[in-house]
Amino acid sequence: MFGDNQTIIRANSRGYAVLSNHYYNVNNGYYAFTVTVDNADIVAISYVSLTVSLETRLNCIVQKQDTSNVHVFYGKLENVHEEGGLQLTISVNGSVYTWISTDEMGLFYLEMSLLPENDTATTYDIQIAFGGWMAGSVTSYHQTSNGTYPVCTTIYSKYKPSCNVTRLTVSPPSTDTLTPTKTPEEMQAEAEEGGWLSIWHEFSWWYPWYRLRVKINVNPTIDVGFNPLLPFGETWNWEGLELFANVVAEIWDEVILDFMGVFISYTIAKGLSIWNWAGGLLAEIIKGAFHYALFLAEFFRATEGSLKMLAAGIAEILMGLIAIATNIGEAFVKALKTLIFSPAISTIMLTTTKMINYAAILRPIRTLIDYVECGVDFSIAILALLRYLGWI
Amino acid sequence: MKTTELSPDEERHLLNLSVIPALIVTYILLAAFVYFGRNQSSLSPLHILIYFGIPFAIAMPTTIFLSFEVLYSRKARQPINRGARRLLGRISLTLLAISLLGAILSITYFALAPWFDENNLLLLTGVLWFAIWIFLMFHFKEAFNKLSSGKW
Repeated sequence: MFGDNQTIIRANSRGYAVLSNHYYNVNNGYYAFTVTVDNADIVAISYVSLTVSLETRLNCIVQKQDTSNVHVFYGKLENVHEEGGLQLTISVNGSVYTWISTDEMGLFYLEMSLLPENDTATTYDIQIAFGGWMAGSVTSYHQTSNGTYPVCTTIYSKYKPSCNVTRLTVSPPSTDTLTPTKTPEEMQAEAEEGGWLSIWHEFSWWYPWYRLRVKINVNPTIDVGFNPLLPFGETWNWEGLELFANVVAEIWDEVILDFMGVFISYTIAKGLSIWNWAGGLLAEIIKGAFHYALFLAEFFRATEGSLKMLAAGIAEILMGLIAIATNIGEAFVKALKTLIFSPAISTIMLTTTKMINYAAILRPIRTLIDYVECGVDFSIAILALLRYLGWI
Repeated sequence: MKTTELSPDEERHLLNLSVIPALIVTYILLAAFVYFGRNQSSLSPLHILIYFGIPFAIAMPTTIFLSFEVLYSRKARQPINRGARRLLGRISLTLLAISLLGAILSITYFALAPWFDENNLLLLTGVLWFAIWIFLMFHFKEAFNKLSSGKW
């Protein structure tokens, strides 16, 4: 008997009876079997254990970014049929590091910063484990006058667990050397200054009389002063951009793509606000909602050292600076341009500068669209940079 | 009570001030969403748009418009219900924008999902929304102006 069905089979001349059942579709459930023998004085019970499951296999490819210690792990959980959100456990040297989920194709992606410890080659065992899905079991029992005995147990899981272990040896770079341009005392003083975000007020006898000073100190440091209501008279200062110049060269295309999308929609919303300010504001806010949606999906997946987060951080700072005053945005692009020596990047930066100049025509005065843009951009920039540094 | 009308410059100044409470509301929403979602690596852009983006797109303009009415009534020394019609018009405009977004989102997700991945679907939805919104604003300029100024 299996389930509620009863099948009668006859034993052959040697007393053997064969029952076969095929699980065509595991979605239909799973069964444990009970055998009842007619016309027998004694029932011999032999316990049977069955396992029903779809096999899975975890494939993983590891790539290392040339100029950083960020390792990209990507791959696929094979034999999974259009079911996303299956959880994978990532362990580094036996300790659980994080959990990630697969998408509907069974694909996964993870960035991890692995550093050589104490400046010597360090080996890491990275285990990616899938613990199976929809596990369960069912047991059938046979009753005799002497008691109840288990006859058959079926252990079931829709997808069988699988695992992938990768062993990596991270060596210290032999050619990259860092020469500090500051004295140890200066570096200590800077560290003691502490705090990644400081906001203070600055008053003067001359125009614009009051400036709001915002300083984001995540090494590099970006310090901007502006009057929230009056145009012109802005101040700006940045330090330490060269510390991530190499990385910026690598991710500059992402920075520009991110920036251009935001910039174009911001310019359209700004243009619409001349036509009808409430309609333009709504365009800007709904643009902000899309902007957050696309960014936060990346943010939740990203890990410390994620270059996508650094690219988003730089693009958003640039866009936020433009929303305060286009000349600050232009100066920021020029500061980055002096650090990166590549004809392709120079051309892209020139285009960016031209776009920024075009925006200057649209904004003789700062309107609430600029404040909304600035608020959305800086909130995304801060989240992105803090994630990149692994602080949140 | 003696009432005064405000000049367009004064109104613009009040609108700029109204963005402060709206930014506070946004930052609270954002902090709560990041806090509760920090272990949810499988949240897709669509989920985030529905759970965070749309509440943000409703809360932010509503706070701006409401703060503006409060500031306006104090500055012009008039009861707050004098601006009720204007507030209602602007809220209707917001709801129109959000319904349009919902409608386009449902069409793109049901009709175009087999051909595009989720990020591209969202970008496409954004572009379509912008295009239709620009068209509506230009085509129904008078109606938009009447609604946003409370003269309906």
